[in-house]
Amino acid sequence: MPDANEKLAELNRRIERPRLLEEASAIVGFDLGARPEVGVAANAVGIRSRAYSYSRRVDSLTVFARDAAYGIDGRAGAWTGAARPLEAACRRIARAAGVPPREIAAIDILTDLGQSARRDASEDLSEPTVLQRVAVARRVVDGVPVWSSFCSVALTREGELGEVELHWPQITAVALREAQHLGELSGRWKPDPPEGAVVEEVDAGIIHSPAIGFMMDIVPVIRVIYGPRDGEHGRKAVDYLDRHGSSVAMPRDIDGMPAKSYERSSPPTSTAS
Amino acid sequence: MRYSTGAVNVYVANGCSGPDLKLCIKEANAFAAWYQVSGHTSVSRWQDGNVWGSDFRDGGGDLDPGGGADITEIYFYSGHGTCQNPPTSTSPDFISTCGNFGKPSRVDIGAECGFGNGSGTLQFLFLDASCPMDLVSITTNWFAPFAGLHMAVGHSGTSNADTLDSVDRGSQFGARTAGLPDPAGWLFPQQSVGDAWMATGTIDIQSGCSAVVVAAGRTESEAVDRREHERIDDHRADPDSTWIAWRWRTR
Repeated sequence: MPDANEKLAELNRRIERPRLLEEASAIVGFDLGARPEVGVAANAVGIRSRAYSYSRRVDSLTVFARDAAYGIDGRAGAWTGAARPLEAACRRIARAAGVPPREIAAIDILTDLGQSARRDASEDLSEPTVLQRVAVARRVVDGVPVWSSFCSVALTREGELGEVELHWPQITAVALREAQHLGELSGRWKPDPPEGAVVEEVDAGIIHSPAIGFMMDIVPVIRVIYGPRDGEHGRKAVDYLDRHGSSVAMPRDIDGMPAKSYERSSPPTSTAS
Repeated sequence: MRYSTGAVNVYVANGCSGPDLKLCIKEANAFAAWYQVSGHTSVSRWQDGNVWGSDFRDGGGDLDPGGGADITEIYFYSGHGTCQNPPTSTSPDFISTCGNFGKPSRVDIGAECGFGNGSGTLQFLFLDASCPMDLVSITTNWFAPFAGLHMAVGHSGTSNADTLDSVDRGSQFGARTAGLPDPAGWLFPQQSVGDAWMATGTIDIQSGCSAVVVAAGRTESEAVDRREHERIDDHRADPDSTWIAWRWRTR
């Protein structure tokens, strides 16, 4: 006899199955057949067949879909052609998933390139090869950039849908209003840079938890990007601040696993400076 | 698989040039959490001054049982690197720690690193350190580290096209590569190292910066196959590094 949790899991699967089949067809055009496997775990649900998978989060507008044959050297290959079909697919899928078209700020076409070299002829390089091109939509809501949202679409060699990731959580009116207020502040205020840095950019927007994760936090912020004063240190320092200039709690995806706090013993002589 | 992380937020107070960073330790903690829930084993999790330059130096500390990078199969580093502006084909690539010991803190990757040789076991080196993998100098710097190493990830850029301090980049890379237990393992995308870094290495980076993945092989086709397909739990044999193949995606 299944325990209560297993009963709930089975009920979830039974209720979600027709919804997921319908969504997979409507949003990404995948036909998963009559008997797809249904999965339920944490905050995600999904269906899969041999050919396709479609899943989504239950706490956010977040969708993952994939044709198993898609891939750079997969059976269906990957798109290396013009940008227009990618852009069109990206807009079509976003709209079908419920994204307001006005929230698509821009669609970037990103290209994966590949190259190789032999150790004893490392200066004799072939030209880079285009491996695939993908479309990635950026988001703006009433003039406020939402930096963590995206819709990424990849196509097969023939232009069929290959892979979709859409992460476009709902932004509340309250969060939007605060972000707009922070935008007014950021135009009139410049923070003091930390030692070794210069202020490079001050902007306001919204950040939120990333696509894969168990929580969904949405945080309006002033984002300050600092350049290195010496001009060389890479990985730019960034502050995410609230209306008081204090650091915000960063959006979570998983509870981090803090390291134990103790001092490392000094190294053996051979590894000391 | 066994993994270690090294994350450096504090530079100035330890006598190194700054600026300090705020998100590297959070990023490494999140990366570790994904690997932990997926059943991998943590070996060392050093932070700030306890991450030493010598941890990455071949024959100079990378086999230190207390935290060398070459004593596990997977090492994730989060901290500063060094960006030339612009780099040339002979420019070195760097990891810039700020350690209490094992100095110098800055490691010249092409001149000082070799992973997977001797008793070294490192298979996957994940560097979230800005510009440690400049495309223009990749053949100058990235044959030497592949001494048994399977794959490495990093970025190519300049001080005007750089990575930003980030939690999500490393955390989401961890989420996609760790191999989550089913059904989360298919409800959330689980990817090859190369595919995962193309998707997540481009998070929180400036326009013109590139996420780069490099793989080695005895033949060109083996290196390319690893670049496209190898996952951390494939248990493939260590490659001969006659060839390296790399892939990149630019924001």
